[in-house]
Amino acid sequence: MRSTFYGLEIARKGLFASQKGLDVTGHNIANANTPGYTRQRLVTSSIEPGTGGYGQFTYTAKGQVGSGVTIQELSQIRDKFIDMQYRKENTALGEWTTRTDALQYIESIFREPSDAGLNAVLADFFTDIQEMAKNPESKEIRALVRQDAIKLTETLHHYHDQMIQLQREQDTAIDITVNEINDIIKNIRDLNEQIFRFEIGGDKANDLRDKRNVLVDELSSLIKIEYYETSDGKFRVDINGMVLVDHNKYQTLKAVKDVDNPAGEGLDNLYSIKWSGTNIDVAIGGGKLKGYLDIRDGNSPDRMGIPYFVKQLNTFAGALAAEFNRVHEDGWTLPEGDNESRTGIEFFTHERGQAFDPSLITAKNITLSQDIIDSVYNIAASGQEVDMAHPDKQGDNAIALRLAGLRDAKTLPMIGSFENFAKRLIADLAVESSHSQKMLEGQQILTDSLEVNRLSISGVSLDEEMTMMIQYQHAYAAAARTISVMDEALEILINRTGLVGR
Amino acid sequence: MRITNSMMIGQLMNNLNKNLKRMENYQYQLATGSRLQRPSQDPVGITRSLQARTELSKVHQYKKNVDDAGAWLTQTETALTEMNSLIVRAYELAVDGANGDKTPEDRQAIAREVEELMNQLLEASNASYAGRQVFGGYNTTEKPFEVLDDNGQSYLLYNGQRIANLSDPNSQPIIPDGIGSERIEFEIGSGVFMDISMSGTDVLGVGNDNIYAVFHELYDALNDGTDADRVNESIGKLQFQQQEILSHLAEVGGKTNRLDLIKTRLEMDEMNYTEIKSQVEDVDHEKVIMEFLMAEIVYRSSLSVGARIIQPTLLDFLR
Repeated sequence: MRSTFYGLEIARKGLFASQKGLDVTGHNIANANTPGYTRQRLVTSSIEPGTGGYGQFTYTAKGQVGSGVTIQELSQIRDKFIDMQYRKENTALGEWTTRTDALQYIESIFREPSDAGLNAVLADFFTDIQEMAKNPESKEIRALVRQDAIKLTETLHHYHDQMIQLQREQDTAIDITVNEINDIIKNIRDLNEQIFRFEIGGDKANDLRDKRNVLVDELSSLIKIEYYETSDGKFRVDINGMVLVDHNKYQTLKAVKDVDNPAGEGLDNLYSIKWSGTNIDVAIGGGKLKGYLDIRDGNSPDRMGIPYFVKQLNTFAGALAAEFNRVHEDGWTLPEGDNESRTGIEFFTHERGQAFDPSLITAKNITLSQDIIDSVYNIAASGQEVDMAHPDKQGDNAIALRLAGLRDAKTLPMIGSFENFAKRLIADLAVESSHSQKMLEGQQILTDSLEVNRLSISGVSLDEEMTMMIQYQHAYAAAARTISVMDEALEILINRTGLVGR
Repeated sequence: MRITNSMMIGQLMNNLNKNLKRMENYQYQLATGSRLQRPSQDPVGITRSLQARTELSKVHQYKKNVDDAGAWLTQTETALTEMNSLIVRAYELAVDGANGDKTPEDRQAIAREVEELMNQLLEASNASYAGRQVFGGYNTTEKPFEVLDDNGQSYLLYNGQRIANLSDPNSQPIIPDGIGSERIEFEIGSGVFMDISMSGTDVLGVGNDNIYAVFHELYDALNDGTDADRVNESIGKLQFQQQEILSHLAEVGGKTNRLDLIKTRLEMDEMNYTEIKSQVEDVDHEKVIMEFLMAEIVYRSSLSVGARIIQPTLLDFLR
């Protein structure tokens, strides 16, 4: 037996459901541009007849109608598999982004091709020596040689300083990134708890989950993570098997300045990343953090970083000083005033006043020897002693020619040839940087397309929401109309029934 | 695939950005005239361009060296030509003075002219180029040849060393070892050197064969005026010395020719390397302008399509 107001009850449920639907649509539209927002859908189902306690006899009757609509849940439309793929690629994207930025910066440090790069400065220096070979008695040309030698050493200093500066920036970025990671994991922990508490009642914490997803996205660009959610709704994030966040517990990281700088001695220590409260290093498998670390520490041709380039520059400076001094020491200086012609003079040194040791020469400390700074006449161009009392040897240019000949020497120890070495350095950098740019480009396309996929599934389509809105609007109007009809029917029943003959 | 608004806008912005970046790149190329901002834009090209820059710098230097060597040799040639004409004149005077008809007074008058020739010869053998002595070997600052009077004897000095006793033609002074062996070389190609100096002792000779000594002997003989045979002796020596000077002139001419050849080759090298460098570094304007225009069209159409695609929604059509 149907109850009298049964129809009104069904219509009321319809009204509520439509109203809820309109709310969800409104929420979706309101968040159409919110980053990380996942569109929500109202999931409804019909109520089978006889439930809800309205007619205990209905099961036995025929032609029973269901008792309206019920709201199942407010679900999110999201593909967890794409999320996982996206985060994996996002980790690689973060790594290539930082690497590419740094390599491009190194390229701008080297300023090639230009008239101010190492190759150009080196060419100027050798050109001056050729001029000196043609005119060894000229003070002006000797001054030019010295000036361009200073330019050469200063170029090397500049490269070195800029590299170390960049390295320091990378190091600071590592510290900042560690703090960023710590902030994110604390937030994830808090959200874990809120979501769990919210969902314990059976509801879905959609908006909180969106927030958490955004945080996991961010985290994935910083460091390589693994994550999963247990069936009872507990969320866990690991780094290489070690727990970062486990539901409402977390373990932060710390940056400790305890690593020797591989770029050379006498430089500041660098940060290592450890688990807080322990002495265990964090295994960093990717992300921006790995990008920073690789550039900061890279020391081999297959992992080029700042120390690699600094070492190449040091090798260059060392060979330059050693080879140049070796020839120069054979030469004799031009006497000036009371000074006699001398031999065994060093041209370059690492520290004035100290004995020359080629192994101590670096791009940072290479400089002209005290003798050369004192007087340009101490540049030894002559192959024999020059005696001004019998002025017949100052035109000797034998050593100047040998110095100039170093330019074409192809088999120098350590570096082969000065200019080829400098060129190869630039070529190596160019290849590495171009490779990194191409990887970044590919990675960008990959993550973009995954992001598009994700938006395609989870993003809000205004057209769709409008359609839904109209749909709910009509449903609402129709439900309201049903109530009117019911009302009319009851009106007839209550107020007009039994009035016959009255 | 389901298309959402944020997706469409995101894609549109990505693409607009890419197009704009392409335009910016072409704009940079056109504005600077340089194809490369960073080596990584063309790693293979950069190697070639740096190589070409190095080679160009070398070629420029070698060209300068060749020019300097050429100027130096021209100066040498001038001095040698002058010496040759002095010898020719001395020869004429000697032949004239050896004539048996001449009186001692006549010969003494001729001797006066020979004395003048001697001064000119000394000047020519101390020729300099840009303040540097041409015949001095490593002595580039002081005049290499000098006449020294010592104890009534006259000596010819070369770089301070006595190379001929002018007063006594029959005595041969001890010539120090290695005199005149100094060579000033210019590098005129990679590892290619040219000896551009000509030693004064090679050119003028040492001992009583030295041209100046021969002139001096001729002067003495003429000044004495009585011995025609003594004058005659000089004639043979002068002929011999002229041959020497002419062979030196031929040597200088040969070197000058070689320099010309090398210079031509260097100029060709310069052209080649400039071309290589330009190919890598310089903008091909026509090509880049065309590419820029194409990029502009793409950018403009993406803007116009974008403007139309993001505006309408179903909202516009609902009443």
